[in-house]
Amino acid sequence: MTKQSDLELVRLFQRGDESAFNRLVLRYQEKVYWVARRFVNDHDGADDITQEVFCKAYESMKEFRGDSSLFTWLYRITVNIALNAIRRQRVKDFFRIDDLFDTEDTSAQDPHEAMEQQEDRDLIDEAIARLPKKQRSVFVLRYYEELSYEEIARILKTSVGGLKANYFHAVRKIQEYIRRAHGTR
Amino acid sequence: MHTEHVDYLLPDYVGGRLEEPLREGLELHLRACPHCRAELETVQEVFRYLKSRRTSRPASSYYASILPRVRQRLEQKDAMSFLSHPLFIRLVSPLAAAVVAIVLFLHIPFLKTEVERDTEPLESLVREASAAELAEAVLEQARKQPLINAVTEDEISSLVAAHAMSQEVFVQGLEPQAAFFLEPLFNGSVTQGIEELTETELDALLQKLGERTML
Repeated sequence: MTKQSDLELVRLFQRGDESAFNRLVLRYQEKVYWVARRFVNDHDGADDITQEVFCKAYESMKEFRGDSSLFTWLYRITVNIALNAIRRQRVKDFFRIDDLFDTEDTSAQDPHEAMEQQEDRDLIDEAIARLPKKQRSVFVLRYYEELSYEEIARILKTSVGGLKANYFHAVRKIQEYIRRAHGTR
Repeated sequence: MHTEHVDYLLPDYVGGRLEEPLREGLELHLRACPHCRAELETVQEVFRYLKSRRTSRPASSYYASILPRVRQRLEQKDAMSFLSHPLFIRLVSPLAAAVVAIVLFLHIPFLKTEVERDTEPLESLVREASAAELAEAVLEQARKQPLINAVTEDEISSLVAAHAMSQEVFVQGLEPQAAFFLEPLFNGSVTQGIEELTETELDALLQKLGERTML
């Protein structure tokens, strides 16, 4: 059976075929999860965002016209929901209302190696978490998702010009953060 | 190649994503430019760091659980849809915010100094009125657009902060009818209140929090 295109599945869903939506979820769930994970740096947060993305997609898909690819559209939803989740968590952290993010479970591995990797991961995660939202978005989409600048521009609804600078400044800020952290350890 | 453009090319160069003509030009430039060579080392350091990371992956069964939970969440949202009805939100959120603003004037006087809008008629009413009269006044005030805008836009940070300190302060002394309007917004947890905030309100709130060292 030939694989149906995204647009075909969207059209089927728009005509009432719920299983078409299910197939789209299965097709994109891993991608969406990892984009969310790069933004919020923990599994539970990424999981919550992933579910919200597909709920939002379900609610909005009836109006999807195909002006952009479904891929771009889903990425855009993911970035927006992830950035909002980050904003809300920053407010909650300020008031110490909720527990801080749980540290992710590491799979069975040597405890010393796990601790070293946890430290390195924390530094990188902290550095990325401190990036301004546009730089963070560009960094995640360029470095981790390996998207072209044109695709990133479509997702973020911005122009291509300046994205390379965003990427460069993000990398610079990460380096400064790591250097400062190592300098105080 | 213009010097000012070289820095921005470095991450893609180090990441192996710079197209050929640009790559050649950049390498030529790097031979002659110590500043850009130093920047290159910076970028290479970060990429080495990033490459050495290993991110723990979710259990193999995780992805199979996403779709059923999305479906469950959609069903829950559907069941709760009356609470998200635009008319309900337009009425309840400003009312709840207006009620909280009035209680703030009663219980947290020091926050009054943070209020920039003209609230004299409201303040005198608050001091002299009973709880029942207050509730009625809130309903009346909430119908006036300026108060709604003022509360939601200018005082949202005070509302959330005050609520974080003590939710009971807001519901005690109020008629059940007025207290009821608080429930959907602050339903046992300020977390719910934060979830209700829009992107613009979140940005405004974060800016205000950044301006304050202590509440």
